[in-house]
Amino acid sequence: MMKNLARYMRLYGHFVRFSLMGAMQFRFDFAFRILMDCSFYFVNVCFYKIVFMHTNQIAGWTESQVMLFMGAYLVIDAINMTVFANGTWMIAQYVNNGELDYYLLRPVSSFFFLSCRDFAFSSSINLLMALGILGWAVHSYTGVITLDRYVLFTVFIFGGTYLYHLMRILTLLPVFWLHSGRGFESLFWILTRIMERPDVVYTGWIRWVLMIILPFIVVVSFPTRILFQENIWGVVGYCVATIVAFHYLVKYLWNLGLRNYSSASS
Amino acid sequence: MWIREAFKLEAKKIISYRVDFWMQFVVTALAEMIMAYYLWKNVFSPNSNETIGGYDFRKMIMYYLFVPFITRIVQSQNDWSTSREIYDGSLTRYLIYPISFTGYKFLQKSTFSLLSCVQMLLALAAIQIFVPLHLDLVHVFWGMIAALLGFVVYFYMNCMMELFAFWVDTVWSLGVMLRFIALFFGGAMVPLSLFPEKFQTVLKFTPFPYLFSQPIRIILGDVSYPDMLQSFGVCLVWLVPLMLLLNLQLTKGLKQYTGVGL
Repeated sequence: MMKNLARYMRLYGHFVRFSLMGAMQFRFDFAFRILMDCSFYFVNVCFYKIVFMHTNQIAGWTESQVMLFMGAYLVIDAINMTVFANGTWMIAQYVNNGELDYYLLRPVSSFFFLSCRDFAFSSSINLLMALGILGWAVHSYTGVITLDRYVLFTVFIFGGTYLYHLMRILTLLPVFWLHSGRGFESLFWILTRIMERPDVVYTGWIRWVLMIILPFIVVVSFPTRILFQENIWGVVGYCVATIVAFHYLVKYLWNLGLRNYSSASS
Repeated sequence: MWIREAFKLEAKKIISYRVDFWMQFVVTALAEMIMAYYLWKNVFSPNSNETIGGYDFRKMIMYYLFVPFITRIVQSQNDWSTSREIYDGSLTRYLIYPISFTGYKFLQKSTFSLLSCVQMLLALAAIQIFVPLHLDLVHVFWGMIAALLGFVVYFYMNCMMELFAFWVDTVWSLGVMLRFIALFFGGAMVPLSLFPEKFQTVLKFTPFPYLFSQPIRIILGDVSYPDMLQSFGVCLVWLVPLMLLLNLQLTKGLKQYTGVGL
């Protein structure tokens, strides 16, 4: 087990090194991506700043709590963009043109290889900025946050990122059967915007849908709740259950998809 | 003549993916409405006649109903085709066509925008069956004209971003950045009347409010005819430098272009 883990860590180190070499070849892309993400952070933070000029709470959450939420959202987005986004972007195309063969022949998990092989250096710079925004939100927060809450929050920031990645993969999987996953993929990008609002605003049936079927509100809002909600064990338990359930669901469907894959003719 | 043929060809291409065309439209509109409804329901005090930035709850929801419709018309279909054609060298075919490159690209994008106008009208008719929208058709007409004018301005801005592909390796991030900035300062994320007043004054001198906010306000009947004409004028004034800059960029870029692809 430990030996296997070390092998994967070593492999990931190589991925990072190759990605750095690639990033240095496209310097303008590197700079433009930083600018793009800066504009994304700017509009998201300003959005809530403007809303809070006209109200002092949103569904019971104060401005400083919403800013913690926004900081967590930006960090999760930045980790995802750094670690997973570039790798997953091409999966549908690989399935269609048969290039997936190359990844299936490697003596490592194809899911790991395809998800992590491209480390986005430009986004890692943005991750620092997102962490800065989160740090500023934590600093501005008027309540008390204990150390154990910080630790759990950090753990579930990674958990939320992984859940987000699993949901993205889930929308790519139909390509194994339908030859084009474009429709599902674009639906995913449209629906991810739902994550930009705290879960407390969603009530009634829509809340159940966004918790169970399309758990977008579990990705960011639930980890944020860990910072300031009184009783957090329900939230923690629900996060763990969702991540585990989605992990096994995606693993099962991924293997099913691979069985259906027939190289270039897929 | 070529305009009609190219328009028909483009329309065929778009409609051949009709499930995708309608699905994206419906899901975008639904997601936008869900987000707006649940957020603003929690911002407005329950059972009060409170207004924020001149909007009561109903009007705010009406505003957000039009955001995805107008965004679709103004931003059209962004497939990064221009920059891709520069990279792979297929731009060359336009250079030997007896038509202008920007003209052809404009026609490609405007086909999607015009079809989106039809889509919006059909959607409004469908919504009207279930919920009375109390819209004035004259306002809807002028709002669509304003949105199409906004499309022309946005086309030139976006095309400028794509033409940077003559000099640099990847430019899609510039286009995405323009989209974020235009949506925010154009009032697609939050109505501009909620912005600080000084900021609103500055924004009036930029093309952004005329892309999304102004067409929606015209449809909702919030803009007087003199103000509407003034906003059309501002759009046309902005178009002059944008067209000049794009032509300059294209001329310089073509001198750089080798046609062999990356």
